[in-house]
Amino acid sequence: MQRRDFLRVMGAGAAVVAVNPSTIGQTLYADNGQLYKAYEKVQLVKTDGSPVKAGDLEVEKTYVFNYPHAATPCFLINLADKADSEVSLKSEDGEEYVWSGAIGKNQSVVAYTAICPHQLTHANKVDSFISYVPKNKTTMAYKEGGVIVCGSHLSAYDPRRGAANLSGPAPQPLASIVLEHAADDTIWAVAVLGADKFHDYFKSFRSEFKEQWGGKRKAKKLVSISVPTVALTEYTKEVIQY
Amino acid sequence: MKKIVLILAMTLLVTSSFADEKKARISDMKHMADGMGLIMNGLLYNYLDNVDEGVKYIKEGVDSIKSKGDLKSYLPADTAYAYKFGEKSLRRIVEYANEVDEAMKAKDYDAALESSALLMRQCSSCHSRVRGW
Repeated sequence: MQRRDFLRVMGAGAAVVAVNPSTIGQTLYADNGQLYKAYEKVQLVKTDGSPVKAGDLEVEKTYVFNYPHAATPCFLINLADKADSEVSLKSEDGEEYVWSGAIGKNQSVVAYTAICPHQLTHANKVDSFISYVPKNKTTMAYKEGGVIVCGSHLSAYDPRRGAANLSGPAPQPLASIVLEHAADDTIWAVAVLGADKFHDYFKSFRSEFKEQWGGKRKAKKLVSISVPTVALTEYTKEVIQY
Repeated sequence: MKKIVLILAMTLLVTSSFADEKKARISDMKHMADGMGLIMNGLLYNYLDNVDEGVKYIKEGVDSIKSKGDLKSYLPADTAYAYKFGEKSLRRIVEYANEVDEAMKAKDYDAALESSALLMRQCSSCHSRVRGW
C-alpha cells in the first residue's frame, strides 16, 4: 500500500471512530454518543498492585473499584451464569443504548457504577445500602436473588442484562463500566456506558467527600494507570441489605 | 374476671404506649417541618435570620429523635426494620443543615439554596421510605 493510501485509510478509520466511538467495540452505541464516555484505560489491580484476573474472581462476590473518578464506586461481579448480550436499555431521558455483555471465560464478569440513579445512594467507606444480592438470598426489592438492590428505596437491577431496572422507583439502569479483557486474563476499565449521574453525585455529597476523600476536588480526580479492587466488605464498614 | 381485667389493662397500656410514640414522632416531625418552612421562607424572602432559626429547629428535631434511644422502636412498626436507613437519613439531614449554616455564614446564598434543596430531598427520601407516598 502506498503511503498516501495508508494515511487515507487511517484517516477514514479515525473519522468513523470519532463520529461513533462505540465502533471500536462494534456493539456499544447510543443515539447521540453522550451515553458512552471513554476515560483513561486503567487496569484493575489488587491492593498489593498485582493484577486482578477474571478467572480468580469468586463467583457472586461483590468487588469494588473506583472509576472513572477517585470517589465514584463501581461494582465488579462474577455472576453465577453467563450474562445476556446485546441488551437494549433506555436512559431516564429516553435515549436508547446497547449493553454488549459481560467479559471473562464464562461471559459472566460485569461492572456497574455503585450509584443508584434514583437518589444517588452509593457505596462509601462508611456504609453501602446498595449491593449485589446473591441468587440464593432473598430481598424485599425483588422476587428473587441474583440482583443488585438499592436498599434506600428498594430498586432492583438485573446485572445479567446491563443493570436494567427490575423493580422500584429508579428511573433508569445503573451506568455500566465498559471492561476490556486481555489475553492474560487481566481486566481493564475503559469507559462508562449509560447515564452516569456523576454531576449530581458530586454536587450532593460535599460533606462526605470532605470527610472521606479530603474534599470534592480530590474526590473528583480522574483515576489513572490502575485502580485497587477490593471486596465490598473491605471497601465499606457495613453492607445493609433489605 | 381478674384475667379479663388484666388483659384489658395490658391492651390499654400497649395502646397508650403506641399512641405516645406516635405523638412524639409527630411532634418531632412538626418541629423539623417548621424548621424547613423557616429556611424556605428565609431564602425566598431574604429573611436571613429565619434560615438560621430553621437550621436550629432541624437540628433540635434530630437531637430529640436521637434522645429517644433506639430508632427501631421510634419508627412505625411496619417500617421499623429500616431503622439503619433512618439513622443514615438523620446523619445526612444534619450534614445538609450544617452546609446551609456554613453557606449562610459565608454569605453564599446560592450554596445555601442548593444545600436546602438537598436537605428537603433527604427529608422526603426518608418519608417516602417510612411512610410511603
